Amino acid sequence: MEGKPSKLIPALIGGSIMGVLSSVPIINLGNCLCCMWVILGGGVGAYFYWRELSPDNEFSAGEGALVGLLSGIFGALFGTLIGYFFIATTGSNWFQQIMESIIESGEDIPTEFEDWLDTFEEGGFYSSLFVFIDLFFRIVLNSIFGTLGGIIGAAIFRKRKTADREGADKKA
Amino acid sequence: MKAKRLFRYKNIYVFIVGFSILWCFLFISVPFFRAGGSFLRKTAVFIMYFFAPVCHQIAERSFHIMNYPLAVCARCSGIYLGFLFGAVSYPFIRKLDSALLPPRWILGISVIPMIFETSLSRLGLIPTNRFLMGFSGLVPGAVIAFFVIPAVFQLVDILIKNEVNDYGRKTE
Repeated sequence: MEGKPSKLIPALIGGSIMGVLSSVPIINLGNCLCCMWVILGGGVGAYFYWRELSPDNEFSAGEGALVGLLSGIFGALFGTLIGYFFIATTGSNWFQQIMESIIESGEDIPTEFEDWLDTFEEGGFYSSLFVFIDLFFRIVLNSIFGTLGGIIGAAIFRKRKTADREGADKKA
Repeated sequence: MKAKRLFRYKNIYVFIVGFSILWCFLFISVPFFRAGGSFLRKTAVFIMYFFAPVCHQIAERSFHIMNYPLAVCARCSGIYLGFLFGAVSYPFIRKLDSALLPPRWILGISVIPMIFETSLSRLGLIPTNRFLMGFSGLVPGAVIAFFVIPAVFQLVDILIKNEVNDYGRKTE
């Protein structure tokens, strides 16, 4: 039995796909559908790992989960970087949008938040602070849903690998 | 060795159930926080911000408590509550000392009600119903728990270098 391939490269591929799709405005709305892009990124990572496996090696759900978890962490890093670029150019982020929707609903909000909203528009300290908060939240969410994507990917691909191996055995 | 593994799996299982309870508490608590004082309202905004990347949070498509919507839509609420239900019922259906995944067709079947509900609702054949959305999310949520729990068992086995190599081959 050959050694198992590195999980880093598949995780980087999955993470970059996850990061880009989760950060580009409009396209990132796909995440509203059960975190679709994050799950997809984990699944893509699992797929590329599965491709590198030799026919003798099994693809366990644990390995899929690990690749998905790493994809999630990379996806959070890429996503925050790309997201920061869009915040810098468009001057709008999730936090601001939530606050604005709450204000529109006529709800009484703490006055500190109104001050924060002003500083967002000026690109002040809180904008930078929220990039780090955003990174932390993304790491938590992407790790969970990326792992889920890796598990689903492993559940889909593990059988095919086994079937491929059985086919190769029959041919031999 | 087997007893040690069972002990580890039990700890992981308790962690997953605990995390799932915390997750559900977070999105259900938002209406109560929004109805509270200044500090609680701030907390509610941060929780809404946390869930924003994974759900559209449209109030009309969310369950309400005290006239405030939950932090996630009805379908996501169903998925997360379903996961909690699946995780709690896991030891009554599967053995905790096993890290084998169920057959993948179960996962495929579980999403059929959600696909049907979404398709019919989008086509305008049935009205958008929050309870129907929530119920259609409950089923895949519960089923996913039966994939995630053994996969996390395997993941931890891999991380502590105690890998058992028959995960991929055996399915029940």
